Amino acid sequence: MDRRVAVIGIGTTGFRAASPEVSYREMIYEAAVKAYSDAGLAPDQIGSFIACSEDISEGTSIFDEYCPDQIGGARRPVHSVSGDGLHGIITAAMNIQTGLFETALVECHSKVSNCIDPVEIMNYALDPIYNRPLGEHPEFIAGLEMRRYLYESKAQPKDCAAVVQKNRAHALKNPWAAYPANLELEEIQDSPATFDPLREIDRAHHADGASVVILASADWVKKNRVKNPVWVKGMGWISEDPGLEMRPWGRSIATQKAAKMAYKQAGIRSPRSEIDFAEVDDTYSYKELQHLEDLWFFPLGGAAKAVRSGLTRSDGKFPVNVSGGCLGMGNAAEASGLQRVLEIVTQLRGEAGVRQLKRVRQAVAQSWRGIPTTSCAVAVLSKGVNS
Amino acid sequence: MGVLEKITSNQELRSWPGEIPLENLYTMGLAGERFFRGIKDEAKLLGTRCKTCDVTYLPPRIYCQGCFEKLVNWVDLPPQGKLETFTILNQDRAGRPYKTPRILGLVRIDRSEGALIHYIQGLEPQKIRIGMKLKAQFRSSSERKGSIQDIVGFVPA
Repeated sequence: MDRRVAVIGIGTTGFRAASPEVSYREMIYEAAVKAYSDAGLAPDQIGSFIACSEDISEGTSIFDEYCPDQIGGARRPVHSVSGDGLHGIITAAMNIQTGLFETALVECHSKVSNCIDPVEIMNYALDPIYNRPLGEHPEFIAGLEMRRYLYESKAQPKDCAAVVQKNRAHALKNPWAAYPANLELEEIQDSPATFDPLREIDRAHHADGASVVILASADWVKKNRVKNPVWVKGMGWISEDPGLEMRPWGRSIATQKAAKMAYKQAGIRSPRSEIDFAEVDDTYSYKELQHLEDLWFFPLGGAAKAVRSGLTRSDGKFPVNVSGGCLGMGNAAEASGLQRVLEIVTQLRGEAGVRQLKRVRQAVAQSWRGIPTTSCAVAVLSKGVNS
Repeated sequence: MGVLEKITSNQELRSWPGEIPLENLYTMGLAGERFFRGIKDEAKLLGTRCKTCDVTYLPPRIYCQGCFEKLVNWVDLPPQGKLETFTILNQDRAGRPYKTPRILGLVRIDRSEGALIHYIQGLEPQKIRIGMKLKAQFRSSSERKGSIQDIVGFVPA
């Protein structure tokens, strides 16, 4: 049996600060219609449906029950993943690899504008006995991690500012992005410190939006003569340590191990030379630098040098977050990982318009589940089967 | 397939408020009971040790995540350690600015792989350095209730 799996359809509403004129169901429906149209499929041709969501941020218990109909999955095999969109992609690929299904659909969305107090939801993820009783804003964790990362990597806060500048500028060319901006380094560095060294502007703002991705088996791709499949060549996902107290604070071990797992499957030995561009989590600016190093693209401290030299800009030799990342597109909760996949698929198909990268064949998507987790997922996506 | 119409006027936008009084009780378990009893009764930190993996857990656990064996070896740990990282909080959970910024630090406790996150007291922010030695300051025995708040914070050792 040929176990290869490809992305054959994508759809998204794009992302914006709020979406008062639609319900989450209508928003998801729109993304699903676009994905079906892109793949040239109808819902009855999908074998398995996967939705990614978290009950508390949705404001509904057993949110799984509210997933099927708007993606065409009513009375069909559906399940939810309480994980990031990239976990959803990996689950869909494995569903297909079982041989039970030829096609699978993944849905992710964010309707954070419906949450009255997203900080309290984030706070409720902290350990209730050791950490929550302090009663502080949960983003102090990003402040702690940023300082340790800067200490170990010798990166500077201005390197993090350069990440903000780059990604918000990349978003100028992405019609799906909620937070495009032309920023001067000085105004980024002048942004007030919230949880010092973290500044207000180092953090991705929330955004609403929905995305849907359709995947299929290699047999199905062949049989239906799909013109532009993007292959999922490697997948990895790791959860490290639940507690804040026993984990290392400078590095993302989860990313390191998930990357090794994905690269092994994809047969990648030298990530930096075999990967053309990357879409990685940048929920906080320093996370992009940390994640690039833990994806084995750069040694510790190397990502700061790369952003300083312009290497990771869209016109550089190793573009990172051409989409704008979470800083430019918005933090779309569970949908953030799918944003990374959407951009890679769009680029590898050559459909990225004004932000199209030249001569790209293979890319890496990476996601992190946010504070206070150490859960990360990595996927290697490729245009050709053997590239 | 497709959306035929959308709401095009702000005056027609409607939403319905919903809320839930979300309250929970969190049991501390065997390890937590013993740890917080150590703090409350004797102002001391207790960890559990895995000899196989050469790891001392703080907060303590009754199993090792490395070899997955049960842990029965309890050790007294000195209430002090090295500052691994810190952050200066300029706002509270609701985003209101603090008049006096608070400082939280992660202190890697000596003779363990574990740590505690707590306030750093008695130091100006510019005097704080990663790697400095700090010790826990406990509330007086009559004030201690068996929680992480029985520790006031960390001060220079």
